[in-house]
Amino acid sequence: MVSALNVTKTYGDFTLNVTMDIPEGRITGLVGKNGAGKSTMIKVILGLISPDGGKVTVFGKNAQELTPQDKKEIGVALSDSGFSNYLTVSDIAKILDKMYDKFDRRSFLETCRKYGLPERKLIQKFSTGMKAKLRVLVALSHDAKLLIMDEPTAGMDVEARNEILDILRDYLRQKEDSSVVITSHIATDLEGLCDDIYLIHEGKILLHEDTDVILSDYAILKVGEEAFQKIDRNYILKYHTEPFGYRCLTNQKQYYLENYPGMVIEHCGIDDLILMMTGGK
Amino acid sequence: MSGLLQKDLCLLLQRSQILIVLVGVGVLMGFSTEGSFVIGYMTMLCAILTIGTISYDEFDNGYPFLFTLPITKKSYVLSKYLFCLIGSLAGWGVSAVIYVICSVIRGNGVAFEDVLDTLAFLPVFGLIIAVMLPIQLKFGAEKSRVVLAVAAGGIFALGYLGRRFLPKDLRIPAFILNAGDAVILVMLLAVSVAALLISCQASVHIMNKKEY
Repeated sequence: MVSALNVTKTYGDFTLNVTMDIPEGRITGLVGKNGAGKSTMIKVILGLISPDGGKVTVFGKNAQELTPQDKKEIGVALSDSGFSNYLTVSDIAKILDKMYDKFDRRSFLETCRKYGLPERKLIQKFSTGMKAKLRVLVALSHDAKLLIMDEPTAGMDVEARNEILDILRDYLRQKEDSSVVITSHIATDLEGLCDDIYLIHEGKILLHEDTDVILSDYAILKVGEEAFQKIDRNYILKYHTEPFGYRCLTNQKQYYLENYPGMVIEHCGIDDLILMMTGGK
Repeated sequence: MSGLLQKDLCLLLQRSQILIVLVGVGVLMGFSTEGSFVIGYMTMLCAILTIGTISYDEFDNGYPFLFTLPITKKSYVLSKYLFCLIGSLAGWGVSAVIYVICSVIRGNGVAFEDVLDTLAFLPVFGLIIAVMLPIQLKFGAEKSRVVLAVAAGGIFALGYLGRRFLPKDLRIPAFILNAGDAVILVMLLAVSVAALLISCQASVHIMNKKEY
Protein backbone atom coordinates (compact mmCIF):
# COMPACT_ATOMS: atom_id res chain seq x y z
CA MET A 1 0.00 0.00 0.00
CA VAL A 2 2.90 2.34 0.79
CA SER A 3 6.36 1.83 -0.54
CA ALA A 4 9.45 3.99 -0.09
CA LEU A 5 12.56 3.08 -2.02
CA ASN A 6 15.86 4.80 -1.17
CA VAL A 7 14.04 7.98 -0.22
CA THR A 8 16.36 10.83 0.66
CA LYS A 9 15.66 14.29 1.99
CA THR A 10 18.23 16.68 3.39
CA TYR A 11 17.70 19.59 5.79
CA GLY A 12 21.03 21.16 6.71
CA ASP A 13 22.96 18.52 8.69
CA PHE A 14 20.08 16.06 8.74
CA THR A 15 19.59 13.54 5.96
CA LEU A 16 16.71 11.11 5.74
CA ASN A 17 17.57 7.93 3.86
CA VAL A 18 14.84 5.33 4.13
CA THR A 19 13.52 2.24 2.39
CA MET A 20 10.31 0.76 3.76
CA ASP A 21 7.26 -1.17 2.67
CA ILE A 22 3.80 -1.18 4.23
CA PRO A 23 1.59 -3.93 2.80
CA GLU A 24 -2.20 -4.01 2.90
CA GLY A 25 -3.78 -4.92 6.23
CA ARG A 26 -0.60 -4.26 8.22
CA ILE A 27 -0.15 -1.97 11.20
CA THR A 28 3.33 -0.60 11.02
CA GLY A 29 4.99 1.38 13.76
CA LEU A 30 7.72 3.89 13.13
CA VAL A 31 9.68 4.45 16.32
CA GLY A 32 12.69 6.50 17.21
CA LYS A 33 13.87 9.37 19.36
CA ASN A 34 12.72 12.95 18.84
CA GLY A 35 14.27 14.34 15.67
CA ALA A 36 15.01 10.86 14.26
CA GLY A 37 13.09 11.58 11.04
CA LYS A 38 9.71 9.97 11.77
CA SER A 39 7.62 13.03 11.00
CA THR A 40 9.70 13.85 7.92
CA MET A 41 9.04 10.34 6.63
CA ILE A 42 5.31 10.76 7.30
CA LYS A 43 5.31 14.05 5.39
CA VAL A 44 7.11 12.41 2.46
CA ILE A 45 4.49 9.61 2.39
CA LEU A 46 1.70 12.21 2.45
CA GLY A 47 3.31 14.17 -0.39
CA LEU A 48 3.63 17.25 1.82
CA ILE A 49 7.34 17.41 1.06
CA SER A 50 9.06 16.10 -2.03
CA PRO A 51 12.03 13.79 -1.57
CA ASP A 52 15.43 14.81 -3.00
CA GLY A 53 15.89 11.27 -4.27
CA GLY A 54 14.22 7.87 -4.39
CA LYS A 55 10.58 7.06 -4.88
CA VAL A 56 7.53 6.95 -2.61
CA THR A 57 4.36 5.31 -3.84
CA VAL A 58 0.96 5.23 -2.13
CA PHE A 59 -1.74 2.98 -3.66
CA GLY A 60 0.84 2.39 -6.45
CA LYS A 61 0.99 6.11 -7.33
CA ASN A 62 3.74 8.63 -6.77
CA ALA A 63 2.97 10.31 -3.42
CA GLN A 64 3.33 13.74 -5.04
CA GLU A 65 0.66 12.89 -7.60
CA LEU A 66 -2.14 11.71 -5.31
CA THR A 67 -5.50 13.03 -6.48
CA PRO A 68 -8.26 14.25 -4.12
CA GLN A 69 -10.02 10.94 -4.85
CA ASP A 70 -6.94 9.02 -3.62
CA LYS A 71 -6.70 11.24 -0.56
CA LYS A 72 -10.27 10.34 0.41
CA GLU A 73 -8.90 6.87 1.18
CA ILE A 74 -6.32 8.23 3.63
CA GLY A 75 -7.09 9.22 7.21
CA VAL A 76 -4.46 11.46 8.78
CA ALA A 77 -3.75 12.60 12.33
CA LEU A 78 -0.70 14.83 12.74
CA SER A 79 0.72 15.73 16.13
CA ASP A 80 1.30 19.41 15.44
CA SER A 81 -1.32 20.27 12.86
CA GLY A 82 -5.07 19.99 12.53
CA PHE A 83 -8.21 21.93 11.80
CA SER A 84 -8.15 25.59 12.82
CA ASN A 85 -8.59 26.14 16.55
CA TYR A 86 -11.29 28.68 15.71
CA LEU A 87 -13.68 25.96 14.51
CA THR A 88 -16.01 23.75 16.52
CA VAL A 89 -16.72 20.01 16.23
CA SER A 90 -19.99 20.92 14.54
CA ASP A 91 -18.13 23.05 11.95
CA ILE A 92 -15.67 20.22 11.30
CA ALA A 93 -18.55 17.79 10.74
CA LYS A 94 -20.00 20.14 8.11
CA ILE A 95 -16.63 20.47 6.37
CA LEU A 96 -15.91 16.72 6.37
CA ASP A 97 -19.42 16.05 5.10
CA LYS A 98 -18.63 18.12 2.02
CA MET A 99 -15.18 16.59 1.52
CA TYR A 100 -15.65 12.83 2.00
CA ASP A 101 -18.25 10.61 0.29
CA LYS A 102 -18.14 8.02 3.08
CA PHE A 103 -18.34 10.47 5.97
CA ASP A 104 -21.28 9.80 8.29
CA ARG A 105 -22.02 13.06 10.08
CA ARG A 106 -24.43 11.65 12.64
CA SER A 107 -22.09 8.82 13.61
CA PHE A 108 -19.13 11.24 13.84
CA LEU A 109 -21.01 13.60 16.14
CA GLU A 110 -22.21 10.67 18.27
CA THR A 111 -18.65 9.36 18.62
CA CYS A 112 -17.42 12.83 19.55
CA ARG A 113 -20.10 13.05 22.25
CA LYS A 114 -19.14 9.55 23.47
CA TYR A 115 -15.55 10.68 23.96
CA GLY A 116 -16.55 13.91 25.70
CA LEU A 117 -15.94 16.37 22.87
CA PRO A 118 -18.54 19.16 23.01
CA GLU A 119 -20.14 20.01 19.68
CA ARG A 120 -20.29 23.78 19.97
CA LYS A 121 -17.13 24.63 21.91
CA LEU A 122 -14.18 26.16 20.05
CA ILE A 123 -11.30 23.68 19.64
CA GLN A 124 -9.10 26.44 21.04
CA LYS A 125 -10.70 25.78 24.43
CA PHE A 126 -10.14 21.99 24.32
CA SER A 127 -7.49 20.36 26.49
CA THR A 128 -4.44 18.70 24.85
CA GLY A 129 -6.07 15.28 25.25
CA MET A 130 -9.36 16.44 23.74
CA LYS A 131 -7.57 17.93 20.73
CA ALA A 132 -5.64 14.68 20.20
CA LYS A 133 -8.84 12.63 20.45
CA LEU A 134 -10.52 14.88 17.90
CA ARG A 135 -7.58 14.53 15.48
CA VAL A 136 -7.81 10.73 15.71
CA LEU A 137 -11.62 10.69 15.36
CA VAL A 138 -11.36 12.90 12.26
CA ALA A 139 -8.84 10.50 10.72
CA LEU A 140 -11.16 7.55 11.42
CA SER A 141 -14.33 9.30 10.30
CA HIS A 142 -14.42 8.49 6.58
CA ASP A 143 -13.69 4.78 6.31
CA ALA A 144 -10.11 5.26 5.07
CA LYS A 145 -8.09 2.34 3.68
CA LEU A 146 -4.84 3.85 4.93
CA LEU A 147 -4.38 5.55 8.28
CA ILE A 148 -1.36 7.71 8.93
CA MET A 149 -0.91 8.76 12.54
CA ASP A 150 2.01 10.91 13.55
CA GLU A 151 2.49 10.83 17.31
CA PRO A 152 -1.24 10.59 18.08
CA THR A 153 -0.50 10.26 21.81
CA ALA A 154 2.21 12.91 22.16
CA GLY A 155 2.13 15.03 25.30
CA MET A 156 -0.70 13.09 26.93
CA ASP A 157 -1.13 11.33 30.26
CA VAL A 158 -1.42 7.53 30.48
CA GLU A 159 -5.20 7.51 30.71
CA ALA A 160 -5.73 9.73 27.65
CA ARG A 161 -3.09 7.71 25.74
CA ASN A 162 -4.88 4.47 26.48
CA GLU A 163 -8.19 5.97 25.45
CA ILE A 164 -6.77 6.99 22.07
CA LEU A 165 -5.20 3.58 21.56
CA ASP A 166 -8.55 1.97 22.42
CA ILE A 167 -10.28 4.14 19.80
CA LEU A 168 -7.74 2.94 17.26
CA ARG A 169 -8.07 -0.71 18.29
CA ASP A 170 -11.87 -0.53 18.00
CA TYR A 171 -11.59 0.89 14.51
CA LEU A 172 -9.05 -1.69 13.39
CA ARG A 173 -11.20 -4.52 14.78
CA GLN A 174 -13.98 -3.37 12.47
CA LYS A 175 -11.76 -2.68 9.46
CA GLU A 176 -9.19 -5.43 9.42
CA ASP A 177 -8.03 -4.70 5.88
CA SER A 178 -6.87 -1.17 6.75
CA SER A 179 -3.20 -0.38 6.71
CA VAL A 180 -1.81 1.87 9.40
CA VAL A 181 1.43 3.77 9.74
CA ILE A 182 1.85 5.09 13.24
CA THR A 183 4.78 6.90 14.78
CA SER A 184 5.55 7.36 18.41
CA HIS A 185 8.51 8.02 20.63
CA ILE A 186 6.56 6.24 23.40
CA ALA A 187 7.14 2.76 22.06
CA THR A 188 5.10 0.91 24.68
CA ASP A 189 2.04 2.46 23.02
CA LEU A 190 2.84 0.46 19.91
CA GLU A 191 3.71 -2.92 21.45
CA GLY A 192 0.11 -4.08 21.67
CA LEU A 193 -0.94 -2.47 18.41
CA CYS A 194 1.63 -2.92 15.65
CA ASP A 195 2.39 -5.95 13.48
CA ASP A 196 5.86 -4.71 12.70
CA ILE A 197 8.21 -1.96 13.79
CA TYR A 198 10.70 0.20 11.91
CA LEU A 199 13.30 1.76 14.17
CA ILE A 200 14.56 5.01 12.70
CA HIS A 201 17.58 6.90 13.99
CA GLU A 202 19.31 9.96 12.52
CA GLY A 203 17.29 9.54 9.35
CA LYS A 204 18.14 5.87 8.78
CA ILE A 205 16.28 2.63 9.43
CA LEU A 206 18.30 0.76 12.07
CA LEU A 207 15.95 -2.18 12.39
CA HIS A 208 12.81 -3.64 10.88
CA GLU A 209 11.22 -6.50 12.76
CA ASP A 210 7.85 -8.07 13.55
CA THR A 211 6.62 -6.91 16.97
CA ASP A 212 6.01 -10.52 18.07
CA VAL A 213 9.60 -11.40 17.24
CA ILE A 214 10.92 -8.41 19.19
CA LEU A 215 8.84 -9.34 22.22
CA SER A 216 9.67 -13.07 22.08
CA ASP A 217 13.24 -13.31 20.73
CA TYR A 218 14.92 -10.09 21.80
CA ALA A 219 16.26 -9.80 25.33
CA ILE A 220 18.54 -7.76 27.53
CA LEU A 221 21.45 -9.67 29.05
CA LYS A 222 23.02 -8.26 32.19
CA VAL A 223 26.55 -9.55 32.64
CA GLY A 224 29.62 -8.67 34.67
CA GLU A 225 33.03 -7.85 33.16
CA GLU A 226 34.35 -11.41 33.48
CA ALA A 227 31.22 -13.08 32.08
CA PHE A 228 31.14 -10.60 29.21
CA GLN A 229 34.59 -11.73 28.08
CA LYS A 230 33.49 -15.38 28.15
CA ILE A 231 30.05 -15.37 26.53
CA ASP A 232 29.37 -16.02 22.88
CA ARG A 233 28.97 -12.50 21.43
CA ASN A 234 27.88 -13.64 17.95
CA TYR A 235 24.25 -12.92 18.81
CA ILE A 236 24.79 -9.70 20.67
CA LEU A 237 23.57 -6.80 18.55
CA LYS A 238 24.63 -3.95 20.83
CA TYR A 239 25.94 -3.46 24.35
CA HIS A 240 26.15 -0.67 26.91
CA THR A 241 28.67 -0.30 29.68
CA GLU A 242 26.93 -0.08 33.06
CA PRO A 243 28.27 0.30 36.64
CA PHE A 244 27.74 -3.45 37.22
CA GLY A 245 29.29 -4.55 33.91
CA TYR A 246 27.49 -4.77 30.59
CA ARG A 247 23.94 -4.55 29.35
CA CYS A 248 23.65 -6.43 26.05
CA LEU A 249 20.91 -6.66 23.44
CA THR A 250 20.37 -9.98 21.72
CA ASN A 251 17.85 -11.27 19.21
CA GLN A 252 18.51 -14.89 20.32
CA LYS A 253 17.01 -14.96 23.79
CA GLN A 254 16.46 -18.74 23.73
CA TYR A 255 20.12 -19.43 22.91
CA TYR A 256 21.31 -17.57 26.00
CA LEU A 257 18.54 -19.04 28.19
CA GLU A 258 19.67 -22.56 27.23
CA ASN A 259 23.43 -22.05 27.28
CA TYR A 260 23.90 -19.61 30.15
CA PRO A 261 21.47 -20.73 32.91
CA GLY A 262 22.83 -18.35 35.57
CA MET A 263 22.73 -15.24 33.43
CA VAL A 264 20.30 -12.38 34.16
CA ILE A 265 18.11 -12.24 31.04
CA GLU A 266 15.38 -9.63 30.95
CA HIS A 267 12.43 -9.06 28.65
CA CYS A 268 13.17 -6.50 25.94
CA GLY A 269 10.46 -3.98 25.19
CA ILE A 270 10.54 -1.60 22.27
CA ASP A 271 11.74 1.23 24.51
CA ASP A 272 14.76 -0.92 25.52
CA LEU A 273 15.31 -1.70 21.87
CA ILE A 274 15.39 1.99 20.96
CA LEU A 275 17.77 2.80 23.81
CA MET A 276 20.13 -0.06 22.99
CA MET A 277 20.09 0.28 19.22
CA THR A 278 20.55 4.05 19.21
CA GLY A 279 23.01 4.36 22.05
CA GLY A 280 24.96 1.13 22.33
CA LYS A 281 28.28 0.00 20.84
CA MET B 1 -13.78 22.94 -3.18
CA SER B 2 -17.18 23.09 -1.45
CA GLY B 3 -15.55 21.75 1.74
CA LEU B 4 -12.97 24.55 1.65
CA LEU B 5 -15.66 27.18 1.10
CA GLN B 6 -17.60 25.65 4.00
CA LYS B 7 -14.49 25.91 6.19
CA ASP B 8 -13.98 29.57 5.29
CA LEU B 9 -17.65 30.31 5.89
CA CYS B 10 -17.48 28.65 9.34
CA LEU B 11 -14.35 30.67 10.17
CA LEU B 12 -16.04 33.87 9.01
CA LEU B 13 -19.19 33.13 11.00
CA GLN B 14 -17.08 32.75 14.13
CA ARG B 15 -16.71 36.50 13.75
CA SER B 16 -20.44 37.06 13.23
CA GLN B 17 -20.47 39.80 15.88
CA ILE B 18 -18.03 41.80 13.76
CA LEU B 19 -20.28 41.28 10.72
CA ILE B 20 -23.33 42.54 12.63
CA VAL B 21 -21.41 45.61 13.87
CA LEU B 22 -20.17 46.15 10.30
CA VAL B 23 -23.69 46.24 8.87
CA GLY B 24 -24.87 48.45 11.77
CA VAL B 25 -22.06 50.96 11.15
CA GLY B 26 -22.86 50.76 7.42
CA VAL B 27 -26.50 51.70 8.05
CA LEU B 28 -25.45 54.58 10.33
CA MET B 29 -22.95 55.82 7.74
CA GLY B 30 -25.50 55.52 4.97
CA PHE B 31 -27.80 57.90 6.85
CA SER B 32 -25.17 60.26 8.19
CA THR B 33 -22.88 60.74 5.17
CA GLU B 34 -23.57 61.93 1.66
CA GLY B 35 -22.09 60.05 -1.30
CA SER B 36 -20.99 56.48 -1.80
CA PHE B 37 -18.32 56.26 0.94
CA VAL B 38 -20.33 53.57 2.73
CA ILE B 39 -19.90 51.23 -0.28
CA GLY B 40 -16.11 51.54 -0.29
CA TYR B 41 -15.97 51.15 3.48
CA MET B 42 -18.10 48.02 3.71
CA THR B 43 -16.67 46.31 0.62
CA MET B 44 -13.13 46.91 1.88
CA LEU B 45 -13.92 45.48 5.32
CA CYS B 46 -15.57 42.41 3.76
CA ALA B 47 -12.53 41.89 1.51
CA ILE B 48 -10.21 42.13 4.54
CA LEU B 49 -12.37 39.72 6.58
CA THR B 50 -12.45 37.12 3.80
CA ILE B 51 -8.73 37.43 3.00
CA GLY B 52 -8.16 37.05 6.76
CA THR B 53 -9.30 33.40 6.58
CA ILE B 54 -5.82 32.65 5.17
CA SER B 55 -4.36 33.67 8.54
CA TYR B 56 -6.63 31.13 10.26
CA ASP B 57 -5.42 28.39 7.89
CA GLU B 58 -1.82 29.32 8.54
CA PHE B 59 -2.20 29.82 12.30
CA ASP B 60 -0.96 26.99 14.58
CA ASN B 61 0.77 25.26 11.65
CA GLY B 62 -2.56 24.40 10.01
CA TYR B 63 -1.33 23.96 6.44
CA PRO B 64 0.23 20.46 6.73
CA PHE B 65 -3.06 18.94 7.87
CA LEU B 66 -5.09 21.03 5.43
CA PHE B 67 -3.18 19.58 2.49
CA THR B 68 -3.76 16.00 3.65
CA LEU B 69 -7.48 16.60 3.03
CA PRO B 70 -8.87 15.63 -0.39
CA ILE B 71 -7.94 18.92 -2.04
CA THR B 72 -5.13 20.20 -4.25
CA LYS B 73 -3.13 23.37 -3.83
CA LYS B 74 -4.81 24.70 -6.96
CA SER B 75 -8.31 24.07 -5.58
CA TYR B 76 -7.23 25.74 -2.31
CA VAL B 77 -6.12 28.86 -4.18
CA LEU B 78 -9.27 28.90 -6.35
CA SER B 79 -11.46 28.56 -3.27
CA LYS B 80 -9.71 31.55 -1.68
CA TYR B 81 -10.27 33.75 -4.75
CA LEU B 82 -13.87 32.61 -4.99
CA PHE B 83 -14.52 33.19 -1.29
CA CYS B 84 -12.92 36.65 -1.31
CA LEU B 85 -14.82 37.66 -4.46
CA ILE B 86 -18.14 36.36 -3.11
CA GLY B 87 -17.49 38.01 0.28
CA SER B 88 -16.54 41.36 -1.27
CA LEU B 89 -19.47 41.17 -3.66
CA ALA B 90 -21.81 40.49 -0.73
CA GLY B 91 -20.36 43.48 1.14
CA TRP B 92 -20.72 45.61 -1.99
CA GLY B 93 -24.32 44.39 -2.54
CA VAL B 94 -25.45 45.06 1.05
CA SER B 95 -23.79 48.48 1.14
CA ALA B 96 -25.20 49.39 -2.30
CA VAL B 97 -28.69 48.56 -1.04
CA ILE B 98 -28.07 50.70 2.10
CA TYR B 99 -26.79 53.54 -0.14
CA VAL B 100 -29.85 53.38 -2.44
CA ILE B 101 -32.35 53.16 0.44
CA CYS B 102 -30.73 56.13 2.20
CA SER B 103 -30.73 58.17 -1.03
CA VAL B 104 -34.41 57.43 -1.60
CA ILE B 105 -35.31 58.27 2.03
CA ARG B 106 -33.43 61.57 1.71
CA GLY B 107 -35.50 62.27 -1.40
CA ASN B 108 -32.42 62.43 -3.68
CA GLY B 109 -33.46 59.44 -5.80
CA VAL B 110 -30.88 57.35 -7.67
CA ALA B 111 -29.41 58.82 -10.85
CA PHE B 112 -27.56 56.86 -13.58
CA GLU B 113 -24.27 58.46 -12.38
CA ASP B 114 -24.94 57.06 -8.91
CA VAL B 115 -25.31 53.57 -10.36
CA LEU B 116 -21.99 54.00 -12.21
CA ASP B 117 -20.38 55.31 -9.01
CA THR B 118 -21.58 52.24 -7.19
CA LEU B 119 -20.41 49.84 -9.87
CA ALA B 120 -17.01 51.55 -10.03
CA PHE B 121 -16.09 49.95 -6.71
CA LEU B 122 -16.18 46.46 -8.23
CA PRO B 123 -13.04 46.65 -10.43
CA VAL B 124 -11.20 48.49 -7.65
CA PHE B 125 -11.82 45.68 -5.20
CA GLY B 126 -11.03 43.10 -7.87
CA LEU B 127 -7.61 44.76 -8.17
CA ILE B 128 -7.15 44.93 -4.40
CA ILE B 129 -7.87 41.18 -4.10
CA ALA B 130 -5.57 40.47 -7.06
CA VAL B 131 -2.70 42.21 -5.24
CA MET B 132 -3.38 41.11 -1.66
CA LEU B 133 -4.04 37.38 -2.07
CA PRO B 134 -0.71 36.33 -3.64
CA ILE B 135 1.18 38.51 -1.14
CA GLN B 136 -0.71 36.93 1.75
CA LEU B 137 -0.11 33.40 0.40
CA LYS B 138 3.57 34.06 -0.33
CA PHE B 139 4.58 35.83 2.87
CA GLY B 140 1.98 34.72 5.42
CA ALA B 141 -0.15 36.89 7.67
CA GLU B 142 2.63 38.66 9.59
CA LYS B 143 5.18 39.40 6.88
CA SER B 144 2.53 40.32 4.30
CA ARG B 145 1.59 43.41 6.34
CA VAL B 146 5.16 44.69 6.00
CA VAL B 147 5.26 43.72 2.31
CA LEU B 148 1.95 45.53 1.65
CA ALA B 149 3.20 48.64 3.45
CA VAL B 150 6.42 48.57 1.39
CA ALA B 151 4.41 47.98 -1.81
CA ALA B 152 2.12 50.91 -1.00
CA GLY B 153 5.19 53.09 -0.35
CA GLY B 154 6.68 51.89 -3.66
CA ILE B 155 3.53 52.81 -5.58
CA PHE B 156 3.50 56.25 -3.93
CA ALA B 157 7.17 56.75 -4.82
CA LEU B 158 6.54 55.69 -8.43
CA GLY B 159 3.65 58.14 -8.66
CA TYR B 160 5.82 60.93 -7.26
CA LEU B 161 8.72 60.15 -9.61
CA GLY B 162 6.33 59.86 -12.56
CA ARG B 163 4.86 63.26 -11.80
CA ARG B 164 8.29 64.79 -11.42
CA PHE B 165 10.13 63.27 -14.38
CA LEU B 166 7.54 62.38 -17.02
CA PRO B 167 6.98 65.04 -19.72
CA LYS B 168 4.40 67.62 -18.67
CA ASP B 169 2.61 67.39 -22.00
CA LEU B 170 2.03 63.62 -21.64
CA ARG B 171 -1.50 63.16 -22.78
CA ILE B 172 -4.08 60.53 -21.98
CA PRO B 173 -5.07 58.77 -25.26
CA ALA B 174 -8.01 60.45 -26.92
CA PHE B 175 -10.15 57.29 -27.00
CA ILE B 176 -10.07 57.21 -23.20
CA LEU B 177 -10.76 60.94 -22.83
CA ASN B 178 -13.66 60.72 -25.23
CA ALA B 179 -15.11 57.52 -23.82
CA GLY B 180 -18.19 57.71 -21.67
CA ASP B 181 -18.18 56.70 -17.98
CA ALA B 182 -19.87 53.41 -18.78
CA VAL B 183 -17.18 52.47 -21.33
CA ILE B 184 -14.41 53.34 -18.88
CA LEU B 185 -16.14 51.20 -16.27
CA VAL B 186 -16.26 48.24 -18.66
CA MET B 187 -12.56 48.77 -19.47
CA LEU B 188 -11.72 48.84 -15.76
CA LEU B 189 -13.73 45.67 -15.16
CA ALA B 190 -11.81 43.95 -18.00
CA VAL B 191 -8.48 45.07 -16.47
CA SER B 192 -9.63 43.83 -13.07
CA VAL B 193 -10.66 40.40 -14.40
CA ALA B 194 -7.34 40.08 -16.26
CA ALA B 195 -5.45 41.05 -13.08
CA LEU B 196 -7.40 38.47 -11.07
CA LEU B 197 -6.62 35.72 -13.60
CA ILE B 198 -2.90 36.57 -13.62
CA SER B 199 -2.88 36.86 -9.82
CA CYS B 200 -4.62 33.49 -9.45
CA GLN B 201 -2.02 31.82 -11.69
CA ALA B 202 0.76 33.42 -9.64
CA SER B 203 -0.85 32.24 -6.38
CA VAL B 204 -1.12 28.64 -7.66
CA HIS B 205 2.59 28.82 -8.57
CA ILE B 206 3.44 30.19 -5.10
CA MET B 207 1.52 27.43 -3.33
CA ASN B 208 2.93 24.66 -5.54
CA LYS B 209 6.45 25.72 -4.60
CA LYS B 210 5.72 25.62 -0.86
CA GLU B 211 6.43 22.54 1.24
CA TYR B 212 4.96 21.76 4.60
